[in-house]
Amino acid sequence: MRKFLTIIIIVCVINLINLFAQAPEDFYIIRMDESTLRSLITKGKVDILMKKNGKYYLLVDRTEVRRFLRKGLRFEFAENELLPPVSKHGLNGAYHSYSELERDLIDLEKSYPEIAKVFDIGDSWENRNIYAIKISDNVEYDEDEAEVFFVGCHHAREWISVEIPYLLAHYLLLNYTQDSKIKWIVDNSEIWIVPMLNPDGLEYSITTFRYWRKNRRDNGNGSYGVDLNRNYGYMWGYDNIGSSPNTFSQTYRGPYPFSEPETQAIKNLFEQKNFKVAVSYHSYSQIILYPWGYKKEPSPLNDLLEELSSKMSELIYQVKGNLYEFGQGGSFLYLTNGDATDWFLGTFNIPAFTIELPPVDFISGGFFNSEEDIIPIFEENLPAALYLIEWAIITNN
Amino acid sequence: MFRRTILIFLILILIPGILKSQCVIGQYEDEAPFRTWNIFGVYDARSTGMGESLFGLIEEPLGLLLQQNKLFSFSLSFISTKAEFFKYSFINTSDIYFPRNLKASYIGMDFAYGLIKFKDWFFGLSFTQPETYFRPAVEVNYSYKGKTYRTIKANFEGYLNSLNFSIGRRIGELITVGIGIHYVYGEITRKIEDDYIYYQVITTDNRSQKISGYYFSLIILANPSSRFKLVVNFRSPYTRYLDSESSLRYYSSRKQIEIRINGNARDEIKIPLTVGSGILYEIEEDLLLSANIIFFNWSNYRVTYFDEERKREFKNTIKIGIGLEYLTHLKIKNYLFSIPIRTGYIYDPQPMKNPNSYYNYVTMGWGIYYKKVGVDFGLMFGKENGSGNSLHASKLICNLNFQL
Repeated sequence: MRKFLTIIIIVCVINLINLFAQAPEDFYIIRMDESTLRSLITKGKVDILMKKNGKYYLLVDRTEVRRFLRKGLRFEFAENELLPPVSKHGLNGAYHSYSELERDLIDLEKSYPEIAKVFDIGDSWENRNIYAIKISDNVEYDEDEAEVFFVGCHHAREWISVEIPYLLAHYLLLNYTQDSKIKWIVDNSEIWIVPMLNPDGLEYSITTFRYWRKNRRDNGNGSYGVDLNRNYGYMWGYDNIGSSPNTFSQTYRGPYPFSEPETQAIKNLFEQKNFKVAVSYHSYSQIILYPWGYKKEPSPLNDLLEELSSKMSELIYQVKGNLYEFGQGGSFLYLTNGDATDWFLGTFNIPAFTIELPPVDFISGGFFNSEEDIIPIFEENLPAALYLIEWAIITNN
Repeated sequence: MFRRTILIFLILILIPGILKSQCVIGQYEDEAPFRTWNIFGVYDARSTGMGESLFGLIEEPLGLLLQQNKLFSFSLSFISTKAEFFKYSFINTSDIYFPRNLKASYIGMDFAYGLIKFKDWFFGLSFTQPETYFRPAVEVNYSYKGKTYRTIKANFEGYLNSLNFSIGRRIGELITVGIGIHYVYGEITRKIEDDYIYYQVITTDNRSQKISGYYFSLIILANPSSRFKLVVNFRSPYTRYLDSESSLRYYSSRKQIEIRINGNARDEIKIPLTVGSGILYEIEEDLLLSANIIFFNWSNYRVTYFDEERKREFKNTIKIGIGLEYLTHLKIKNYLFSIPIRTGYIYDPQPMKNPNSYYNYVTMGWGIYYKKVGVDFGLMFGKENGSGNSLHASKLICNLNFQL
C-alpha cells in the first residue's frame, strides 16, 4: 500500500513539473479577486493589467505562479479570456450584439481610463447609440497627433466586421504597458474606432433575418433600409449602377446624401477631426479596395493608395499566408457610388481603404465565419492596421 | 408676428414626424399570441357569442361553476381560429415583401373541464390552451429566366397549455370566493431555410423555446340579488421561463464547408397583473345582459430573448365586452329543446404604442339543449384598425356540455 502511494505521489509530481515545463510562455495572465490582490500588494510589487467585472488581471511569471500555489492563494488562469469576446451563449455566439459591444466598450474605458474613452457619436433610427472609442495618451484632450479612423459594420450581415475593429481596440489597450511599439503608437496618435456603425441592422440580422444588409429605415412603401455604404455625400447617386434609387434594392442609396443618422454621425465626427487615414471593414472577398469606387479612372492619390495597399497585403500574407488581393474599387471589383472611402478621399483628401475580410467567396462561407476564425482573422489583419497607424504618425510629423 | 406663429405652428406639426423612430413591431414578435395580446383565460362558446363578456373565466373552472351552480359539469371545446398578418418576423420587415395580408388558421381542442360541488365547497380541474403562436408559413422563390436560384422557407408554430385547479367556498348567501393555481407549459418554434440553389449553399436558422411557469388567480362573486351578479377576478403577475435554443448553420455542399453557431439561454417573460370585472343582469326571465371590463398592466411587461432584454414599448390596455342572450324553446313532438341565441361586441385594444392598433369584434352564438346535454356554438368576426393593414380575425367555437 505504501509503495502504491509513493508511486502515485511521484507520478503527480512529475505531471506537475511537466505542466510547467510544457507551458509555451514564461508569463501567464491570471485573475483574482480584490481581497487576494490586497494580500499580494502588501508583500511586494504586482503587475496589474486591468480590472474587469470586479476581478483583477495580473501578468505573472512561472516562479510567481508556483509561489502563489504554495501559499494557497485563490486565482484562475485567464489567458484566453482576454482575447475573444465574452458572450458565447446567445443567437450570435462569440460575435457581439449591440448590448454586448456596449458593455465591452464601457468595460475597456473603465479598465484603461487614461488611454481609452468611449463616445456616443449619434443615434440610429431605432435610437441605439453609435459608439466610438478613442485610444490615445491624454485621451481627454485633443492633441496635435495623427488621427486615424477605423469603422466596422456598415452592412448588418457582415458580423466579422464588428469584431476586427473591436479587437484592434482591445489589443492596443491590453498591450499598451507591455509592448513598447504599441505604447509609441498610442502615445503618438489618436485612434478612433467605430466597431458597429449599423446597430439596428446588426440586431435585425441576429434576431430576425441573418442576411439583412441595410439599416432599418422604414421607407414607407413596405420596404426597409438604406445601404449605408451608398449614402455618403461624395458622388452620391452618380449613376444607378453603383447604387440604386429603388427602395427595395440591397444597394438603395437613400433619399438624399447623408439622409441616415448613422452616416450623419460619421460626417459629424470627420468634420470635427483631422483624420489622416481611414479604414472601413467589410466582408467577404479577402481583398483591399481603395477609391475611386464610383468610376474606373484612378484618383489623384492612386500611387500612394496602391503602395499602402500593397504593403498591407504583404503584411497580412506574412501572418498566415492568406492572400488579400488589392486594387481600385471601381475597376478591380465593381462600381459603387456614395460609399465611405470615396467620401473620405473625395472630401478630405486622405487615403482610405475598404478591407473585405475573409472568406474569399460565397461558397467558402460568404457572410459566415466560424467563431474559431475570429481571432485568426484579427491576427492576420493586425499588422496592416498598425502599419497604417504608424504611416499616419510618420506623415503627421 | 403672424409669420412667426405660422413657423412655430409648422414646426410643431413637423416635430412628431422628425422624432418618429422606427416602430417596435410588438404585435408581430415571436412571443405574440395568435390574434390578440389580450388573453385572460379561454372563453367558451356561450361567452364568445356574448362578446367574451361572460366573466371570461373558463380557465378558472370555479368561474363557470359559479354561473351554473350545478353538482357536476363536464365540457369539451373545439375551436377554429383564423387571423390575418401583415408584418411578422422577417415577413414585410425585410426584402421579403407580400403586398397583401397573409392568413393563418388552426383547429384544435380549446379546453376540457370538470367541476364538482360538495356542500358549500367547489372543486374544479381543467385543461386549456389559452395561447398559440402560429404564423402563416411562407415559401419564397427567386427566379431568373424561369430558373429558380434561391428559395426561402419559413415556418412558425407554438402553443401554451394550462393545467388549472380551483377551489372555492360560499361565504354567506351573497359572496363566494375562490382561488386557482395554474401551471402553464408550451413551446415556440421558428424554422427558416434559405437555399441558394445556384451556389449549393443552404443556411438554416432554427430556434425553439420551451415555456413553463405558474400563476395564481383569485375570484370574488357577489349576488346582491337573484337577478344580478357581480364578479371580480385577479390574475397574479408571473414569470414564464423559456429554455431557448438556437442553431444557425451554413453549409456549402460544393466545398463541404459547415459553419454552426449554437446558442442557448434561460429567458423570461414577465406577464403583468390582470384584473377583470363583470356583471350578469337578468333583464327578463329569458333575456340576459352581460358585460365585462379587463385591465391588462402591459406597461410592466418584460421579455428577454436569448439572454438579451428586448424592447417592447407597451401601454396598459382595457378590453371591453358586452353581450345579450335570449332563451327560446322549441318543441318537436314530445321533446322540448332550449335554444339560446346570443350576440355581442368586443373592443380589444392592442398594447403596442406604435402602431396604436385595436380590434372591433361582432359576435353571435346559439345553442341547443335537451335536459342535461347540450351543444353551443360561438362565432366572432373582427377587424383591426390603426396599423393601416386592416387585419381581419375570426373564431368559431363549439362546446359539448353535460351537467347534473
